[in-house]
Amino acid sequence: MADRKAIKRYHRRVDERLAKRGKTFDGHRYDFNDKHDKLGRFAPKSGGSSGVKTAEDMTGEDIKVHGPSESKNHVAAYIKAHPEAEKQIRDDAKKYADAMQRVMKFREEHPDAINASYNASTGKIEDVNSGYCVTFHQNHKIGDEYGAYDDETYAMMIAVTKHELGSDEVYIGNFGNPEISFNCKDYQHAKRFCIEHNQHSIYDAKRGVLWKNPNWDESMNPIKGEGSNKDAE
Amino acid sequence: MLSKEEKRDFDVAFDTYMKNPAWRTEYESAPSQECKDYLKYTYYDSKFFNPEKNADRLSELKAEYESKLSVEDWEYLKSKAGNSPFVGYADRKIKELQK
Repeated sequence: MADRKAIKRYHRRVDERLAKRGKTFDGHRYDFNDKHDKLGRFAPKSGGSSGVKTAEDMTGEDIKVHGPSESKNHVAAYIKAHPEAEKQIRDDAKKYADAMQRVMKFREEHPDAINASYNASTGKIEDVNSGYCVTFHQNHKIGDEYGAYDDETYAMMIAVTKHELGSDEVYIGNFGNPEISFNCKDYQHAKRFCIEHNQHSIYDAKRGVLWKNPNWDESMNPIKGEGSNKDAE
Repeated sequence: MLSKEEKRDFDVAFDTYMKNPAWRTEYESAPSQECKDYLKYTYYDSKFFNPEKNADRLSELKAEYESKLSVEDWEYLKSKAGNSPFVGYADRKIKELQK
């Protein structure tokens, strides 16, 4: 029930911001009265006013999209399915929580040196130039750096995702706001993860290209920064 | 230059992306036709796209589209990248063009 209220509050805030600019929302929103498919996914009525389709329609694959509010359940379910990895995941979560704190502290002390990727294990700046960078982080609330996550859930999601993606390296991207990023060798794996977590794009670090997610629902995971479509409205 | 088959694939992908208002806004707000052409290149992630299979061709096309971008175009692309490491990549390109 709390999630429904949070989503309605979020939509209300967006509506208020748009109303100030004399505009109305032009997309299709998650509505609990909408029909869902057999996996519980949101299925827009006739494609919605925006014409955005479900992940299944766009890609031909059967991919469930996770919201940030499902993170705790996702962590619990993953550990239950992989009990052999629980100790490693909990140790990693502690390590990444510490790394995140170090980056936040560094950012406060060096506000001009923020555009960089930090290795989450070493805390050092690295030039990422191979593999595909993807994240689970969803900006549930504009202006709130951690969105819908509390510190503990965020750290556990990092550790679980690293295990899930078989990621060699985990980075803390500090391009505007600190955000975790996973370097994945396999494009198809990264692509699936990107769609599952309603991400804007995958960063192809070798080529320096953002491959965009056709299914991205901006209303549920707006990008931050000066170029945000929401900010531009 | 795109082959006839490539152009058809890009057009199919582009039509799909333009159904999403977020990508349509990004594309239509681009500051130049060159920037739009580059964006169209990035709207290629559909079921037939696999960078591991056609990696060389994708890199070739990328170099072609990137070479036509101005500082203003890069600034726009950077502003639309959110918190992605692409921001750092765009920063480097801007500095190169300003030298």
